[in-house]
Amino acid sequence: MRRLTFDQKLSGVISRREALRVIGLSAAAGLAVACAPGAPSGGQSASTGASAPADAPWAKEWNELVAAAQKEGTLNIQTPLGTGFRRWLDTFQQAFPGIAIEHSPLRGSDFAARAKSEREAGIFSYDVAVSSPGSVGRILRPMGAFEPLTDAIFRTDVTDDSKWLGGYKSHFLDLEQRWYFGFGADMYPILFVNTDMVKEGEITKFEDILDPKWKGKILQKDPRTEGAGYISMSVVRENLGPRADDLIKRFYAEMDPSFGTDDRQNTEFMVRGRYAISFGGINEDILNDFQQQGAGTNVKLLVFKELLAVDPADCLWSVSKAPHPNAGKLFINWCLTQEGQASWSKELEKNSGRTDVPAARPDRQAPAETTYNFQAEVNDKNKVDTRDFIRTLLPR
Amino acid sequence: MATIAVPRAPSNSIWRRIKPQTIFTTGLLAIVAFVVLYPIYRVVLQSFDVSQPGEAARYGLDGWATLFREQGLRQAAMNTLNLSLAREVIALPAAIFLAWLLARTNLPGRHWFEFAFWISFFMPTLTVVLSWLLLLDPEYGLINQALTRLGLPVFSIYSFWGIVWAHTIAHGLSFKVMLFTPIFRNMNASFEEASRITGASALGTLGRIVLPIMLPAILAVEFLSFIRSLESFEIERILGTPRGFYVISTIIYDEVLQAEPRYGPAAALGVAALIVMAGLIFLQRRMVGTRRYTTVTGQYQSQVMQLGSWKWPAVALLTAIVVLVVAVPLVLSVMGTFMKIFGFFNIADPWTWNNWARALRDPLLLRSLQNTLMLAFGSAFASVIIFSIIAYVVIRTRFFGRGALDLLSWLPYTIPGILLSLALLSMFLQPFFRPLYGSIPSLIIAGLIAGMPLAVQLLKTNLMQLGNELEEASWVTGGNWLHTYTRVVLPLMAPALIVIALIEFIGAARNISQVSLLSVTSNRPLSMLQLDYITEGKFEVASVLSCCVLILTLGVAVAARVFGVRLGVGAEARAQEAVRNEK
Repeated sequence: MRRLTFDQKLSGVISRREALRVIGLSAAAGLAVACAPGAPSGGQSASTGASAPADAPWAKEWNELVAAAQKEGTLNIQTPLGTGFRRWLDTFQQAFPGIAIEHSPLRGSDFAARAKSEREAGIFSYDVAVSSPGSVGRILRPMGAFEPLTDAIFRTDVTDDSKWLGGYKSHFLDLEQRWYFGFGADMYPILFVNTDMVKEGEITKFEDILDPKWKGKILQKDPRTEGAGYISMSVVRENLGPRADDLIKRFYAEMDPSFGTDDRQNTEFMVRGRYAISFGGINEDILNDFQQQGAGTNVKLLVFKELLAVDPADCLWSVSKAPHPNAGKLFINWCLTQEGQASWSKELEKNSGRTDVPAARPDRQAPAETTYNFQAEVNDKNKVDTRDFIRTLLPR
Repeated sequence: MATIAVPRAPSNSIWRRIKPQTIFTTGLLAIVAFVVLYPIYRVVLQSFDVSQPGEAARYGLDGWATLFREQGLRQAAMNTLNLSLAREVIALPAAIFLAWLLARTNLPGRHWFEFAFWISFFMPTLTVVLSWLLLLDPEYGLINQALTRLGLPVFSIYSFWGIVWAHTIAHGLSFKVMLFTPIFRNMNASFEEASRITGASALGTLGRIVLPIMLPAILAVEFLSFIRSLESFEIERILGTPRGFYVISTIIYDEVLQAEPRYGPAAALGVAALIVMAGLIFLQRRMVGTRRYTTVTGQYQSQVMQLGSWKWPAVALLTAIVVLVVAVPLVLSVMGTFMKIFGFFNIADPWTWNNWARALRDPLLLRSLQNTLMLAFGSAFASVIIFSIIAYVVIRTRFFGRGALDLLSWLPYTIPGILLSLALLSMFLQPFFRPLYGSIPSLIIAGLIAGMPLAVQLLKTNLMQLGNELEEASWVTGGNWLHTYTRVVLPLMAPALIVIALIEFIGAARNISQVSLLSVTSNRPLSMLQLDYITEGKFEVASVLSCCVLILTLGVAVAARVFGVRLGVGAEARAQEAVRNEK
C-alpha cells in the first residue's frame, strides 16, 4: 500500500471551518429536501360518494348532506390508537372521496386533556370523537364539548330497532340516551386460565379463584389505575351484589395477585405460563395475535354468570362547535350503517351491535342474558366506588 | 486662521449607552425565561387547581393534601433515591475510566469503541430492556435457563439490581461516556506529562491530575445524569411494577392516566420533585463555582498516554463492555423484527418478513418519515446555534443576567415529562405561539426546551476548558465578536456540538410524550406511528420502525464522526500520531 507523506495525510484533515461549512450546508440541504411538500393526505376531486336508495325517505337529506360535507372537504376525527382505526377511516374516505381525513389517534385521557386545553383557548378542532366515555365523559362533557348524537342521526336504517341487538336506544349509554353511542357488542373478557394448570371444571364461580392453591398465581392489571383490573371487579360487584365486597377483600388479602400495567407484557406472562389465572389482566386482542402465531393456545377464556358484561368497545360522540359540522354528521350516520359497522367490525376484529353485520368473533358475542354494560353512565358510580374500595385495600 | 475643534459633549441619551449585545443578551434571557418558566408556572398552578371540569377555576390545597395522604409515596421516593444512587455509584467511575481510556490513551480502535457507545445511546430504551428480558427473565431468560441447568442461582431482571443493570446497560453508561469523552479529549497533555515525569503511574495521574482538572465537567454531567435518573420511568414501569416496586415517576404517570385524571396530586408531586432538583442544581453551581478549569490554551498539547502492556487487556475490557451495551441488544432487537413473536423460538416457523413488509407498506410511513427528518434535522440545527450562544453568554460575557440564564437552562429537567407535555400544550395555545400550534416548529421548540439542560451544561463545560487567549488573539488581530465566535470558538467546540446535535436528533426522532399532545395529522412523526403499533401490542412491527430511526441516526452519526475525528482540539496532533504509527 502506498504510504502517504505526512503532508499528504495532513491535507486529508478537513479544516474546522470547512467542516462546519459543509455541515451547515448539508443540514440546510437536508431541511430543504425534507420541507418539500409531501403527498396530499387526502381529498381527491369530489364525486357522488355513497348514494342513498332512491326510495329511502332520508335520501334527499342524505344526498344534500354528502354534497355539503364534500364542499367542507375535511373531517376531523379522534379515535383511539391502533392501525385498525386508520383502515376503518380509509373505508369512509373511499366511500366519500373529496373529504380529507384529519385523524387524531389519541388515548382518551390525552384527547380529553388536549381538547379541554384547546377549547379553553377558543380552538375547536374536532368534528367527531370515537372514544370510551371515561376521561372524555368526565372532563369534556361537563364543558359542553358535545352535542346530542340524536340530533345528528336521521337515517332510518340506523334508528331501526330491529337492526340493533337490544334495540337502537339501548346502545345510547348515557342516562338521557342522547349523547354517546356504544356500537360494539363483545362480551367483556375477564377471566383467562392456563389450561395446563387449571383443569376443566375447576373454576366455575368467583369463589373458586379464592382457593389457596392459586395464591401467587393470579395476574391482574393494576386495579388502582385505569384499565381492566378494577373494571373487572366492578362487574363482580354488580353481578354478585353486597356479598361481593367480602370476596374482593379476600381476593386481595389472601391470593397475593401480581399486578402489571403493560398489556403486551401481561399477555406474554400468561402465554409463557408464569400465571395460572388472569383476572382482568390481559388484552384479548394481543392474546389473539399470539394464538394466531401458535403461542398461548392453552390460554382460554372462562365465562360464567357473575363475570358477564358487555363491552361496547368504542363510543361515538358528536363534538360541539365542530369546524366541519356536515362532515361530522355524515360520518356519524355512515358509522352506524351496515357498511360502516361491517368495516369497523372487520378492521378492529370486534363484534358489532348491528344484527345485520356478521360477527367477527362469534365466540366473543355477549350472551343474550348479559345486562351489565360497564361503559353505561348508570354504572359509573359502581366503577368509581369499586376503584376507591380497592385503593383502600391496596396501598402501594 | 486655524480653528480649534471643540469635541462635542457625549450625549446623555440612555439609548446611546445601551450596546447592541446587551439588547441581544437581554432578549435571549427574556425568551429563555418565558419558555422555561411558563411550563413551570402551569405545573405549579395545576397543583393548586381544585376545580372540577366545566367549573370556573378554583384554587386550594386539595391536590397537596391528597399527595401527602398517598400511601406508598414515601416508599416510592426512597425507591427513586436508592435506584438513582445505585446507578450513579456504578456508572460514574466506570464511565470516567472508559472515557479516559478512549480520550487519553493509545487504546487501539478507540474511535470505534467511542462510536459503539454512541450506538448504545441511540438505541431505544424499550428495545434494550426487552432484549435483556429475553436473557434475564427469571424463568424463560436464556441466560437464567443456562444458569439453572448448571445449578447456579438465577439473576432476575425483575428486581432492584435488575433495574440497576437495565439502566446501566441501556443508557446509564453510554450517556456518560458519550459526554465525558470529548471533554476528556480537551485535557492538555502537558499536565499528565508533568505528572509522569515526577514518577506517577498512569492510574495515579488519572486520580491526582486528570480527575481534579476535569471536576467541573464531571460534576456537570453527573448532576445531569442524576436528575435524569430521578425522572426515569420506562424501565421502572416494565421491571418494577410487576413486583410492586414503584418510583415517583410511575406514580405521576398512574395519577394522570386515569379515567378521571388526577392532575392536581400529579402536579403537586411534580412540584415537590422540582424543589428537590432545584436544590441539587444550586449545590452543583456552588461546587463548581467560579474556579478556573482551563485546559485548552495556546500551548495545548494533545498527546495520548501509552498503555504499554495494558493495551490488549484494555481492548478486551472495552470489547466485553461493548458487547453487553451494544451487540447484545442490537442483535436481539434486529432479530426480533424478523420474528413472529419476539422471544418465542418454540412456535412453528418463528421467522417472518411480515413485520418489515407491514411497516414499510404502511401508507403513513413516508409522510411520517418526512416529518421526522424535518423535526430531527431542525432540532439538531437549532440546538447547536441556540445552546452554544446561551453557553457562551453564561461563560464568556459579563452580562448581568448570565447567572439567571444559567439557572433557567437547568430548570426544564426538573419538570416530569408527562407534566411538561401538558404545560407545553397550554403554552402553544397562547396567542403568541398559536400560529405554531400543530406545526413542525412547535415540536422542535418543545424538544429544545426539554433538551436545554443537557446541551447547555455540556457546552458550558466545554467552554470552561478553553482558554481566553485563543479568542483574545482573534480580537487583537481585528476580529469582531461574530468573527471570533464563528471562526475560533465554534470550531474548537465542534466535537461537543456534534454530540449535542446527535442527542437532539435522536431525541426528536424518538420523542413520544411531547409529540403525542402537540402533533396533528400533518406533522405527525414516526414515533407516533410506532405508538400505534405498540398500543396494539405489535412490538415486532414497532421495532422495525425503531430500526429505521436507528439506521437514519447511524447514518448521521457516521457522517458526524468523519468530521468529528478530524475536528476539535488536537486534530492535527492525532493526524501526526497516525503517521507515526504507520511508520
